[in-house]
Amino acid sequence: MTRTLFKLFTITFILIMLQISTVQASHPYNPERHIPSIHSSTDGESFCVDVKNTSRVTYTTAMNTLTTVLYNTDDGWDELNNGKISFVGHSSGQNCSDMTSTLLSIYKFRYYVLDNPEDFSGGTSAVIDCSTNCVKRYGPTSVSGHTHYDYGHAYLKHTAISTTTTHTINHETGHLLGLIDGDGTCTPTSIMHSVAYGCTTNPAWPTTADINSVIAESNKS
Amino acid sequence: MTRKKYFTLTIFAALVLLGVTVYGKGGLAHEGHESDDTHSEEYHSNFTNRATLTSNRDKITVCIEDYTQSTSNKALSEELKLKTNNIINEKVKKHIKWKNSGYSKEQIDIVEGCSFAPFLLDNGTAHPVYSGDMNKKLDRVISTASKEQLGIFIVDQSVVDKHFKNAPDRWSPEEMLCEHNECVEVTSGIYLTPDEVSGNEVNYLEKEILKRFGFEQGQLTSAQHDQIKKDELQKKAFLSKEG
Repeated sequence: MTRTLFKLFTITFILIMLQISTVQASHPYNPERHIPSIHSSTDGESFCVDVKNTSRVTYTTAMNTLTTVLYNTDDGWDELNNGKISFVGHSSGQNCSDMTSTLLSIYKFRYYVLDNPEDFSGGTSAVIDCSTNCVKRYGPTSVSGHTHYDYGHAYLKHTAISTTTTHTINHETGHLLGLIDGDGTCTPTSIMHSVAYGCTTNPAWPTTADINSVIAESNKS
Repeated sequence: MTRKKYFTLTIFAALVLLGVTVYGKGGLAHEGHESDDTHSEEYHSNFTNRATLTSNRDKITVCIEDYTQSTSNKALSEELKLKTNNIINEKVKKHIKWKNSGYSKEQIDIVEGCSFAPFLLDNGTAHPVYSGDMNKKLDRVISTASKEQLGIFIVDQSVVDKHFKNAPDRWSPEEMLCEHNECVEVTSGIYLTPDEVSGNEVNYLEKEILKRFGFEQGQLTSAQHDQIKKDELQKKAFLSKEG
């Protein structure tokens, strides 16, 4: 009887540890909207950049900044989960909007650098907060309880390239990979829990919680 | 340790486990979590993880309408409706990916007449995705999604020539719903010419519909392959230079 109770206690204790680690280990990954290439080892996260709506950043500066951040395999999103997430930038020097439709359709991640993102909030009413940066998702398909989007657009204010570089690019890329913004809760520490959402710091790079969330989603079928 | 102490400890541990579980679920719910295996809705959001995409839809409605200037006739719409119905029943619902898709949990209705006009028929707009352009007129941002989730439009050849030259398919976003700093396509369109609807182009329609359900991906062209290789080589060069 004592042995049985001991076993029961041990199992319950292990379950507690597992539950606590689940709650604490990852940034919540909901409502699960992302580009499907994160599930694939063969399809890279191809991206292009467009600077036609800014006079303050050149194409070369924007592309160099993005590749420096997105190709960082030590601290960033790149080459996660044995290469299932692998960013590959356009190499022919064209803005997204200068490509033919055929070529452009390769690039599922698109970064638009803007002088005034608030001018591009969409529609006639300001229903999206694009005063600094925002994202749009296109081409939905429903896969076993979550939603894939063929294309993701990130709209970056020019300062995202010139001053707040690393945090903003990683934050908006976090959205395209499926992460949601913070809600004022600052634990766990996350690239999505920035000062704009009531936290004290803007992490420069995705945290362990962010990486764990994206890897877990990437492993779903 | 006595049996009584073990028993007390186990009960205590079980209560802690229950508390952690409830806390965890509450925390996730606070972050916008919703169950994906039920039809429960996010009380705070216009979005849902169901295949209907928005919480104001209780089924997937596909609408069909003829917007051609010259050949508009009811018979063509009826033909398209019939073909669409056959494709949904014979190809989509029998597809190997159907069972595990979110669509299998939803009722699909096909109706004639859409409550919204095709977005690309508005003067001055470009395709929101395939043009690569951006300005605020390139999206139709709405506050309440239409009941129809997919519109299949019969349009003049000139519309297709203008917006789908070199495009991989005939899809275009129709309605975007926004919350916080994110906008999401919740209504889609497929644009076809009268010739593609009538005659022997049923495979074209089938391919477009299967793509909208995520059951067909389309093949890369050799030019696309070449560009991807080129991009990958440049990345390798960048990384070897860096490190």
